Parts: sequence; C-alpha cells; structure tokens
Amino acid sequence: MKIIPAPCKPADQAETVEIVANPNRLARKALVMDSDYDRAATPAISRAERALEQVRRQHRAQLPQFLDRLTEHHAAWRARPRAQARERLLRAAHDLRGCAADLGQPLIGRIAGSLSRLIGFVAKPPAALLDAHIAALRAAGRPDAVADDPVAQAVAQELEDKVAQAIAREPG
Amino acid sequence: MRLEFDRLSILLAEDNAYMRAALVAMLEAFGAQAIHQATDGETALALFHEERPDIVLLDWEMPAPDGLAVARQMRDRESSPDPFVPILMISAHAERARVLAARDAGVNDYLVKPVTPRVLYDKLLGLAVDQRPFVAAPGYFGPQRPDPQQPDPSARRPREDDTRKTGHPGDRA
Repeated sequence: MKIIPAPCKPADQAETVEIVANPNRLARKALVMDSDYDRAATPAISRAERALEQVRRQHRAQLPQFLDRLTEHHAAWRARPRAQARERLLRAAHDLRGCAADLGQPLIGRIAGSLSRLIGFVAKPPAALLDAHIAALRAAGRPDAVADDPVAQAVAQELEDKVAQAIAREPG
Repeated sequence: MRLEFDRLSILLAEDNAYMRAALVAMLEAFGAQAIHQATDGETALALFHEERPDIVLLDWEMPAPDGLAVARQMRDRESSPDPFVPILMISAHAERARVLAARDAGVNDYLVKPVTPRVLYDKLLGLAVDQRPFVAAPGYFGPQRPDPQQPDPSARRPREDDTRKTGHPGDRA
C-alpha cells in the first residue's frame, strides 16, 4: 500500500493521505443478496415494533424517577456548583431528552432538550432559567398534564427562546 | 438483500437503561443473538478487544470515555484490533456540529434518538452495503466521506491495491 503526498504543497509540508480498501468483513459475513428488501425487512421490523412497545410499557412508569433524579442533581448543583455536579445534571437532562419522546412524553423531551442545551452551551447558566426548566419539567410530568396544552407549549417555546438568547450571548 | 443478524456479534454501548433495553429488544427482533452490552466507554473498549464485534452501536453521552473518544480509539490503527469496524453513533444530539464531530472521529453513520425499528434496520443494513474505502490522514482514519453528487458511495468496491490521492481527510478525491 503506497503513501502518496497530497499535491500542491512543498515537499516539506506535504500531508500524507492514504486510501485504504475497506475489507468490509460485515458484508462478507452476513450480507445476503438472495431476497428483496421488503421480504426480509417487513417481518423483522414488525417484530421489532412489537418488542419495542413491550419495552416502552415496562419503562413508562419510570419517568417520574428520571424527573426525581434530575431534580436531585439540580439541587446538588445549586448547593455546590462543582463541575461533577454539573456533569451529572447534564447527563440526567440528556437522558430524559433521549427517552421521553420515545416513552410518549414529547413535551418533557422538548424541555429536557432545552435544559441540556442550556447546561451544555452556557458557561454560567442563569439560576432563574435553570429553575424555570426544572419547574416546567415537574409540571409536565404530573399525571394530569396534557402534552399538547397550548400553555405548556408556549412555556416550552419561551424556555427554548431564552436558552437560544443565552447561547447567543456566549463569547466566541 | 438482508443481513443475517444471527451470525453477527454486536457491541452496544449505551448507559441509559431504557435506551439499552429498547435497542436490545429491536436487535433481538431482527434476529441478533450475540449482543455485548456496555454502560460506559471503558467497558465498551474492553468488550471491543475481547469480542471483536462485527458492528458497534455507540451512544455519545456515557461515562468516560464518551462515545466520541471510544470511536477514535476503535479507529486507531496502532492499537485497535479492527480499525475498520462499522460504527453507528446513536445520540440525542441533533446539532450539526455534533454530527460533524462524529464524522471526524471516523464513525460510519449517525442516528438521532428516538430510534425507530425501521430506521435502525436500514442503518444496520446500510453499514453492510457501505463499501466506501477508508482514508488515512494525519488526525483521521475512517470512511471516505460521501460525495454529495453521488448519494450511493458504496457503488464501487475498491481493489486491494487501490491507492489514490485526496485533498482533505475523508473527502472524496
């Protein structure tokens, strides 16, 4: 296998760039070309949808625990604003963002996404804005909460706008 | 075309219990039997060395090292047991900068949560069909980036002695 210097640069500055054949072990081991896509994919995907729904049912009840954990991490960070506490809160928000919509709580996922952007991209997030996210998440997690309630949607939008403004104020 | 999932060894690195359960359920429904699970980057790398998986599914946000760092180590030709392993990054991060960072770490493809069975199936099949050659350049080892003019970069299978010039790491020549 040859190494070829990239063109248009003096020899002493030349970057070596190499193109290497992909052995594609995966295709050689398990890719079969004997059937059309739908014939194999449709039943597999149907089975997966049923299996996924079963997992969702098992985990839906755990959403309040996710919210409790998030609230605890927020309280811990407010009490002692250390990097480790911030990281825990960010991870909790990110987890919620990743799974809430899948568990039938898109509003919680949306607010958690806004919170994770606030923690992830703003060096010193305003305490009031953090508090507002936590309060909104607690409200959205109440059993009687309605995800597409216009007021709830307006609150989520307002939080996202405030976070966007805070990110825009960040230097660099 | 189809993948014989029952022949595959799959490494799944995901710290969120729900997401991990959901992904395992979908993979098993596809027919996968050997699914090695990790909840942090360190365990993922250890399993990668021990099990030599055919596919790696990596969450970005997990206890150190994170998915991005894990992908970089898997692509390290000096130390990796299989620097060509197909890597699918799965993340709630949809920001363009994140996707580009994952690409620059050498991942083959990127999947934004929530994950649906159809998208997961298609992405996994896509990893097998993907025959892009790899690019080795200072600071990068990974699949050649797709040419926007040619949506199917896997159309051409490179020869073993295939060596060409390119301008930037990962960019199509």
